[in-house]
Amino acid sequence: MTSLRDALALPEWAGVAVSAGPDSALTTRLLGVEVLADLRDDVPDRCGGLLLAVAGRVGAEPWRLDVLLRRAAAAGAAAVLVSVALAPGRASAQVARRLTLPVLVAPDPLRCAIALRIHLALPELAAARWVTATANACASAPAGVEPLVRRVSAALDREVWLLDAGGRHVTGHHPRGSVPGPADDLDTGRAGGSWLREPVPDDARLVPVAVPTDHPRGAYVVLRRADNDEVVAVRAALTVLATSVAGRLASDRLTAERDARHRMTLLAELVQAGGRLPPESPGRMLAQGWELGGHHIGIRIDVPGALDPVSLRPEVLRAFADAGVDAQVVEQGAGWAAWTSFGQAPSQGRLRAHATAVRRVQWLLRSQLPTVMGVGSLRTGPEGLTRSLGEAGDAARIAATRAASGHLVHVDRLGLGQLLLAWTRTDTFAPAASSLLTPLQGQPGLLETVATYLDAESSVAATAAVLGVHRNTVSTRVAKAAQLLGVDLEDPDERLAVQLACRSVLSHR
Amino acid sequence: MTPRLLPRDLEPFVLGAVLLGSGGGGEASLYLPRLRAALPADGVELVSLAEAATRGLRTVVAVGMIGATSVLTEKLPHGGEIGEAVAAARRWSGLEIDALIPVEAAGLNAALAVAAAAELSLPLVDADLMGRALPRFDQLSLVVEAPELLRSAALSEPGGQVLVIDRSSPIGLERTVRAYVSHAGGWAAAAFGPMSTAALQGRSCEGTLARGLDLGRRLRSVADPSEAALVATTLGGIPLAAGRVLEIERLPTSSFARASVAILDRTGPLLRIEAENEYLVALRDGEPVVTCPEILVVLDRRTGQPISVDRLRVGDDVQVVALPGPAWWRATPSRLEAVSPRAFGIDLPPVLLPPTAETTVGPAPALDLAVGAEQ
Repeated sequence: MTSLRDALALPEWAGVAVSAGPDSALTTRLLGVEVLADLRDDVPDRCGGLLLAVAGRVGAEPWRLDVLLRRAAAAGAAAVLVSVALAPGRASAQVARRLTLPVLVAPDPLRCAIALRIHLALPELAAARWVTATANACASAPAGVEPLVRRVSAALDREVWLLDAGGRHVTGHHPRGSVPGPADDLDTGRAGGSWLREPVPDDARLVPVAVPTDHPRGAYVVLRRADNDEVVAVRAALTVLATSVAGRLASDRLTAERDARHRMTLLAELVQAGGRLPPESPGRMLAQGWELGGHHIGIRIDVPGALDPVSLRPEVLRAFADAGVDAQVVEQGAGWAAWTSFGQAPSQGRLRAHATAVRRVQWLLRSQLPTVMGVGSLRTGPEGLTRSLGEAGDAARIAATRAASGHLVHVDRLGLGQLLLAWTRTDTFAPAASSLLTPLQGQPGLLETVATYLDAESSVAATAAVLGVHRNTVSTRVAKAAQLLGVDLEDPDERLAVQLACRSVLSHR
Repeated sequence: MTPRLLPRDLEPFVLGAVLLGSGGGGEASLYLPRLRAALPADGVELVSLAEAATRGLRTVVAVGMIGATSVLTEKLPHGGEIGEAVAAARRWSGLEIDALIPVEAAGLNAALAVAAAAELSLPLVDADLMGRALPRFDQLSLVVEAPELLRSAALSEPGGQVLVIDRSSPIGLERTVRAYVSHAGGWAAAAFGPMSTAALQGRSCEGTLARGLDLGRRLRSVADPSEAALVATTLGGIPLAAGRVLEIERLPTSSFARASVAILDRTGPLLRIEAENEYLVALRDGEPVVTCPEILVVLDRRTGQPISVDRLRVGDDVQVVALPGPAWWRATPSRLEAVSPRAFGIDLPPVLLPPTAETTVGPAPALDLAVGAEQ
């Protein structure tokens, strides 16, 4: 908002002086400029908030200035600018004071009017430049959302991030620094108040713009280090970017859905045929990168029905990649079918490493999604793959109730587990188990830690992965629990008793 | 019984004539001693146009001074000039002159017409061709309404020269008169006509002399001249401002010198008066409030005496009153146009006072009965 004070600071206004008017003249807001040829010109009916600039010097009679001031005040003008030659005398100054209308004098009112008009139009000009630059960058960016954001960020010379609806960073230069309090113009309501979880530098001014998608995850474009004056222009530019992002997200999703349908059909054919491949299938499978000849471990991941497996597949792929598990992932029902293929029969050590890595996959996924995972046994050939996937499915169904194991069940251990579980639920065992574990009551985390630790083959590292705590925490808790219970977990008998008791107590919760 | 203007009426009459001058019209009061000496004890007979017709006063000439009023002030007429002009008109036309009518019954010309009537022992018709002080020849009621009647004039200048113009037109008359006046040294006495009293019916401002006398008496009756509202009510007008003159800007223009007077009212508003020879337009805080042909009067707040445009000075403590102008001028749009602000080069529409009994058009107001009662 431009005030008379701002206008007086313009270089072209160097010779302008406030000649008459109210004491508060400097705070007068100027919304626009209207130029009159001279004092004889008609004052427009409505000039609310406008500066009336009288360009010429003709008709320099004091009464004309009085009449002009009167009409200007009646039409709502903010101020009147006249040539020095028309400067109000004492009498006209009194009229200006009476009308509370500031009167300015300048050597060249027309030049001042033009300068002010340009100044007032600057935000629009800036917005136009930003929008044009953004549109050009969007048009020339390579396919995909990330190149788009990077290109626009470079074009605007500002940092632009794409965040998901949870405020997590998706793309753009990754910010570092502290988290600011919500700025006043942030659209906090949209993301439930915690709109941004990303750390942002202290001096950044963020302009969030929602990406218009029907996609459940939505997104925000955030711009860093924008001056306050830029906010309007920036918002306009980011709206263009957001629309473009939405378009690309939609197009990416179309591609993803087409690919997903292809994969799902292929897998369905394979499963339906019980692993006996139709003649034309191997080529298509190979095109997907599926090596069906070797050894396979099937993995089943289930998520609640409300979640969309197609759009979440990248998260699953990322979790497998982060955990170092080389797996094929195919959308199937309310979740994914995945498998790891081995060219040659893997060693026991490699299988154990694989099992640990899969556990980490589940832990990574659980930090974002309520996943349930089942793992099949090692099988050979296409038929073996379908069997292993079937086992994984059964295991996943059981894992749904296994909070202690991080909702992960390995089918190799399923028989024993089921047997023991059935037994520990008997009325004779439950009270005994409860009394055995009484010392752990009121000790937060100990029971869960011990149960998980024993389920994880007494592996501190695996327990830490499942619980998401540090290994030292696991060791300390296990040691403390053993001390409280007065048992030696190195002793196979005592270990078994404690593990069974844990199962019983946890299943009764 | 015919009303007469008596010696004891002279002071209020001249004062009223000055009020009708609207700040112009010349310094009539300077001529008061001369007028007092000229007027016989039984005064001058005033007749209305209607009465003139019934009494057989058929031929009149319109008399007055033409030229710069300031020069008149410096070079006073000896009083016989108008008589010489009337005599020239009589000789040239061969018509007996039955009565005189003032060209302008305001300011100095009102006093001169009375002096001439006294000198020539002729009745004075209570009407004039302006109704107030106006600066220009084309602002004569006859020129606006019936220019064909104004064909001849007899002029007499202080040096004794006499000029008769005939078979002319208002434009031709004005050109010759102006040229003659500048040649003659600033002013000349003029007698327009002769013309018939019947032709002046409806083509002149009737009752101006009586109005002047009435205004003068009313102003003199005001007990406290510093009471602006009281003065205005007494005069039948409205108060516009009371305060000190803040600023006077005198600007040269093509026709007459323009003055812009700013008066800071005690209560805050700024009253600006645009003036040429007369006060023409009043604006309050930039809003036109009263304009010509209404009459603007600036009075000394202490003495209650009118102050002319020429004599007004910065710092004067004054009050401003607007009086209704002559009803004749506002009767039709074409008349109003001739005396509106635009006729003076001020680009504003006329702003008139609300109509009152005094400003509505009708028969000439009856002469104050008191005048006749003196007989």
